[in-house]
Amino acid sequence: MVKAKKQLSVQEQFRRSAMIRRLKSDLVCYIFLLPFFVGAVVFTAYPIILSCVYSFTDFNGAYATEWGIFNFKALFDFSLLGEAKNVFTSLGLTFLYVIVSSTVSLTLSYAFALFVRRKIPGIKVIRVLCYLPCLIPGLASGFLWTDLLGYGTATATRPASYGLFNTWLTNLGLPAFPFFSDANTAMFTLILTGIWGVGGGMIMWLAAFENIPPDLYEAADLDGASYMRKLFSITIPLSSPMIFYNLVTGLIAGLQVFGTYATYGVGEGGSLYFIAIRIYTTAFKSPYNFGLACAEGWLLFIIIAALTLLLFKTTNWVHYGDEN
Amino acid sequence: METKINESAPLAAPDSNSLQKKTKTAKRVLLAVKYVLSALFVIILIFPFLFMIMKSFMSAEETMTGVPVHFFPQHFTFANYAIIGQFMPNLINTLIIIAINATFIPLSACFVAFPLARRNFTGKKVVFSVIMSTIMIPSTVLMIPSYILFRQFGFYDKLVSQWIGAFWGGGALNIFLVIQFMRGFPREMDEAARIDGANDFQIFFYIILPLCSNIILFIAITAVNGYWMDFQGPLLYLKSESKYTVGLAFYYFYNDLLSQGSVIANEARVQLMAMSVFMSIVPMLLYFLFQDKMIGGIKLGAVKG
Repeated sequence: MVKAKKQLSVQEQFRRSAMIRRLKSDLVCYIFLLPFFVGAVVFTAYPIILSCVYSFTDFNGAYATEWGIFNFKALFDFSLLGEAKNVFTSLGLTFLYVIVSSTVSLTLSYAFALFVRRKIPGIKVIRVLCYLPCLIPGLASGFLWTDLLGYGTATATRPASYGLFNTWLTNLGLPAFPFFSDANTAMFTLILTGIWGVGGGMIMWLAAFENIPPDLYEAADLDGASYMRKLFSITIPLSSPMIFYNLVTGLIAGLQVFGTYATYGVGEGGSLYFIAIRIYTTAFKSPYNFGLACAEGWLLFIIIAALTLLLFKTTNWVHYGDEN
Repeated sequence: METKINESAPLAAPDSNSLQKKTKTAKRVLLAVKYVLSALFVIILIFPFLFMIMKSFMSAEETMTGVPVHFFPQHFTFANYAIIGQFMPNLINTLIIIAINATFIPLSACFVAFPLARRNFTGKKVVFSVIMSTIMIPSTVLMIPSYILFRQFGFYDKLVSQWIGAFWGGGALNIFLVIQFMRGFPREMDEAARIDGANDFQIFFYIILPLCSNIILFIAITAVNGYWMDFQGPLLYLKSESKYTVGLAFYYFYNDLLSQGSVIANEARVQLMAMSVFMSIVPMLLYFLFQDKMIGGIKLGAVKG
């Protein structure tokens, strides 16, 4: 009896020391994770709660006097006093920009990558040169495009200058094109200038193509598959996870486009007044309506979350290879 | 049987030869077409960049109205670059911000990634999904409350607002990249070190971290590029001129030009191009110096898709 008891306690001791060791190693792991948790609580979770609270007030950066759901009411109030018209115009512009520009850049960069993929001499130089425009910071390319695409008549936001492109057009006997100087053409122009960034997408697709096993193509060649057949049966399906990833990140980033504000402002007649820019100006330009800006932020968040979920629900076209 | 083969062989040979010749010339034409097309693409893509460089060397008189817009500078001058000298204090601000971010973003990402990549602990899956879910939070939602928070902390109008974010793991995407990278090392390394009496911190700092140099470099370069001409952060938090980063100072320089009148002086226009070239130099240099590592990092990212 005594012996059995002793044995039990030894087992117990063993179990305890194992538990303590496990606890210790867990603790060490969480010490490594501590920076993330501090950052997540202080710089992410707390601001989110703040934002939630402020969206129900008329906070102006210094104090709040009223509580209520008036900010959200204003967001959907289409009367003259309400913000709905402005906010939904901005949302519409943002959607237009995201859908057109991401479609254009996705297809162009993909086609480009397919084209540059072939092993021909000098291809490395071509790849580097294509990537070059992506290395120009947004501010610099803004300066550059306003210079290149300058239009004759001066406006409130755009100075008078005749850029190179319009000089060419007039030399060819064509009428000058207003580019950023007209509310109807500013969006088109912005999307057009976006094409110069296809090199970045191209490099990424090339990396994705390298992950496709070459024996698939060899087998297809043996079967006498045409180029198009290989493209639609091998290349596109096997890079579909990457296409999906880019769709999602492109959507999330595109809906928050703000960088254009640096050089193009809100665009001629508000033609480039994207939702992120509106959130910024609502809070930081008179009358400093922080509360409303927070509410606008939440509206954008809900839209982004809903669209991301929707995209994840429709992933049956994405090929994830063998599930293991 | 043998004669039959001998008979048919010479018959078939010239046929296949001419066919080969035909396909050869066809291939050559195709290759030529490809080169011409690629050259065209490349010229279109890099033309604005070349124009920027050319115009930055033009004299102000050259760009006056009346003088036709041209590509090559007629009066080659470096004078436009003198404007950069005005922004030296701003450049120092930018360099401080970059130095801190480029050091601590990769380091803290490695630190946080270590247990997730190389240890098993209670709640690992939950922690991992919490980290990944922070990708979904759009920064625009955080813009206003972060501003209020930074004011409360006294970070407003101080450079600290631009680098305080570097110490908390450097963002979910960086953590994820490092996890992917760290998983590649053999587990036996940790065990061997532990038998030698090393604790987890020693294992991390002396064994794992030195092996991560490639991914650290990649994340550091991305951080440099991200903060070099960052616009949104400085615009929100830096208000006094002495605190401006180069990018923000350039932005206000441009804004002042716009507000002064409807016409930007020719002088300013060539100066703007010199600034643009200056802004592009850093990312270009980094790209050409570390091209292989950059592509390697992109590939590592590509695997995750």
